[in-house]
Amino acid sequence: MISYILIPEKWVETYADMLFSYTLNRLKDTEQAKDIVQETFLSAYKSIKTYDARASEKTWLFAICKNKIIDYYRKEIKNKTNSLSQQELVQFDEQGNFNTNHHPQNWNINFNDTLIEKEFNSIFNVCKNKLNSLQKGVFQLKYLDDYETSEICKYLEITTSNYWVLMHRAKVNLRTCLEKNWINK
Amino acid sequence: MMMFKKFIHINCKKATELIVQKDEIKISLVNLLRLKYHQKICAICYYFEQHISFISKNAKKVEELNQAKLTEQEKHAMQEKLLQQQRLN
Repeated sequence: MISYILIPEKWVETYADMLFSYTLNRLKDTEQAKDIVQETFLSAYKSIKTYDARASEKTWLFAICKNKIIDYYRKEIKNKTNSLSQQELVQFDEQGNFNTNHHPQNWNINFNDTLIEKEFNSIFNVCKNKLNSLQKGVFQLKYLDDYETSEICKYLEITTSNYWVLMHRAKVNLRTCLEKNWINK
Repeated sequence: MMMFKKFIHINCKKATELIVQKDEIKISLVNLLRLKYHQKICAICYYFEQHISFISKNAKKVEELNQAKLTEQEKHAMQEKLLQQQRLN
């Protein structure tokens, strides 16, 4: 069996950028992302004794970082639970019908075109960053990290209905943003 | 007939909520019927469903374009904090 070793003196030089872009893909706030990278190194250093050498140094650091990101969102949600259901979506009127200027349209595009795919990717990233912090968090945990819905609820300590509120808003807003900036540009 | 309509009728907001759920999990038969009934009379919610499934399908494929980097100064500060931690131990 391969046994891995840790070289803490090289951590920042080797992994800081990787962990930073990993975190920034899952978070909205750049300063918060930096803090999480720093905390990852500090926690890792504190738990050197418990490192069992079965995972590589990189895998181990990324696992710590992932946990820090989940911790961050758990705290965020705790602070904001009351306001979760208060923000209304601009796409719907009081009766729950689509507002006229937000009617989904026929996109009518050839999704197999590679050019379209490239263009989609970059606009999609812009649109994800326009979501609020919690919406982006839940969306990325689901689609970038491939967690099951039930796992996300467990990790973030939220109810299933809170999850659906966040995911619904995330997807409605992403769809609107894509239609505005990509389809109708 | 009135009772049936009342039971089956949902608005666009509810329909989009069901579409978002259906995209990830199996929704109840009752809700599926409500959604299908709604989409028969509402073309925009039909488009909405197409777009949502397109988004989730491609969300997985989108490579992480964001290759953000820290400045040398920021890395230096991180290294310093880590060294402090080492000295404390």
